[in-house]
Amino acid sequence: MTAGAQQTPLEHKEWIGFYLKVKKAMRIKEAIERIESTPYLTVSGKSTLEEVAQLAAENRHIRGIYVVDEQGRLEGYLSLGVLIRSVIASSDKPYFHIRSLLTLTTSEKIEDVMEKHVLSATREDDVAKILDKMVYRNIKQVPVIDEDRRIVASLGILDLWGLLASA
Amino acid sequence: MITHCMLAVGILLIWSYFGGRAANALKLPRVCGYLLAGMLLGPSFANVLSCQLIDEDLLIVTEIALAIISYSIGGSLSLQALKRLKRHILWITCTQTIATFLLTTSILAFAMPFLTNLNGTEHGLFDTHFPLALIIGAISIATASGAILAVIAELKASGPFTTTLLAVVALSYGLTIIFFTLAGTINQFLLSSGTTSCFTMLGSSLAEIGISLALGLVSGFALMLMCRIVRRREALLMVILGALLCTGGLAKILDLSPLLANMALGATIANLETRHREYFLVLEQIEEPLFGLFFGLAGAHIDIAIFKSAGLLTMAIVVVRMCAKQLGTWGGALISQAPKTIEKYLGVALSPQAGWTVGLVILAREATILPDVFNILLNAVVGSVIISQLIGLPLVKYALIKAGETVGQKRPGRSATGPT
Repeated sequence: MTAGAQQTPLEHKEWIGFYLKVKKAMRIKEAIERIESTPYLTVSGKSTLEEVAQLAAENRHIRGIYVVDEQGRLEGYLSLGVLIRSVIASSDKPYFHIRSLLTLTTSEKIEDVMEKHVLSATREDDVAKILDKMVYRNIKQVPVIDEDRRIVASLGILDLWGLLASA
Repeated sequence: MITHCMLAVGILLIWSYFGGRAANALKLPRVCGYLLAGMLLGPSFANVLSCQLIDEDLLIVTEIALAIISYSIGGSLSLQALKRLKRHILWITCTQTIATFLLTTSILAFAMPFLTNLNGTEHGLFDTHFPLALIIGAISIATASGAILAVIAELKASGPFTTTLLAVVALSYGLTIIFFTLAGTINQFLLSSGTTSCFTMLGSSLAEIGISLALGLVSGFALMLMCRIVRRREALLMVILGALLCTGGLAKILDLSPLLANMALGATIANLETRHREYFLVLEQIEEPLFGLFFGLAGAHIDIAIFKSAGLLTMAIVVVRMCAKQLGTWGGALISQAPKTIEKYLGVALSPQAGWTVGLVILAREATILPDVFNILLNAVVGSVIISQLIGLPLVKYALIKAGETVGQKRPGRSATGPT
């Protein structure tokens, strides 16, 4: 696991793994081979919100937007909801909470609004543990990164669950 | 009449929910629905809730709700976001805040004997009128974000005017808490029997603000430390809520400002904790029922007889506040050479008064001493919140249309408008 994911709790519990009565641990590298990567976008933190909003509108099949640096290393995650909320008045309802009002109205670039505390997985991680963490943090997809923090795949929560259930 | 706390809370929750739904159906802010729902259950109408419940037993609800509101306001004060603010936003925020506080306080302090029945020998300038005006001046700073966001979303407005409006509204909340603390300390000196110099008064006010902020900072560090071992999300809520109540309670014991301390706690988390979003999201899950109760209880305080007698004061608050906002905004826009549309229409768009400030009035009860004085203040402020939100919505709409930032009008691109 990467540094960001180490802070995520529930390691002692693994309730999904327990629920599914998984006898054999499965690694993420096996999951990558057996399930398809969810479609995602990688953007620079210096990109403007409008540019990325435009890009997302043109790629409606994407499920996540990952922010990477110039070397392609994972820096952050941008949820589609935050992206929409950040582009003022592009949504039909006022979802702003007073807490995020100032940040959202003053932000111009992706790095201003991205989530820096990203849950990520490496090839050697246990699928059940990653799934537990996704459930706990209400995350729908997780990037799989290599030793240099470059993204190699993005795995969806339902795909991982289905994989464990059929194991 | 209900005197049982649990039953009263249950009824108030359900009743406030339907009040909010009815207000939404009439295209009014939900806060107005909660306030009116509470009013209908209060002693002045159906008399379902007893005075004992409203004034004392359920006061803790108001205190907890205000602790959460202060924490959220602190959470909005990200240093990164503050650094990105444009010069004219800072200027306008400063000038409209100071103008609103000073003009509302001074005009209402001298006009109070003519606006209310607080004009006997027992109600002097420095023991009744000025303390009341100070509290009104402080709470007049806050502008209702919900009402403004609803209009912006309805008109799909965007552009420099909209951005400036939202940023000024966001900053007004934190400033309200600071000025309310200042007003509370000044009131304590005015209402104490001894004579105190202005310097002592100001020094004590600043010391209270400083120590409250320091308490919040220390609590923030303690909370971050505790949360290192917290695993479950529900447990995070437990610990954060505990930290908020401890900070608020400690601040009260030490004669500091619980609101300011919790705001500093929120700001500490927002700026120093990497998982800060989680620290706020868990609390947001319980906000709606708590705020429904909070506004419902505030509405239950409305006494229709006092409400009528405070009518002139209510109207004066609405009018003076709007004029002060316009004047302050105009001054700040002139100094910072902001676009003409901001100079002309931003003050109008800041008309709706924030509903949560009613809770501040309830907290200010100790500073106003006499129950009849408190009742007049509370009813006038509740009235001004409702009126300002009712007339404020069309005014915000007017300002946005005049600024040319609604859909169908010429809209400058956001990249050209966002602060750098």
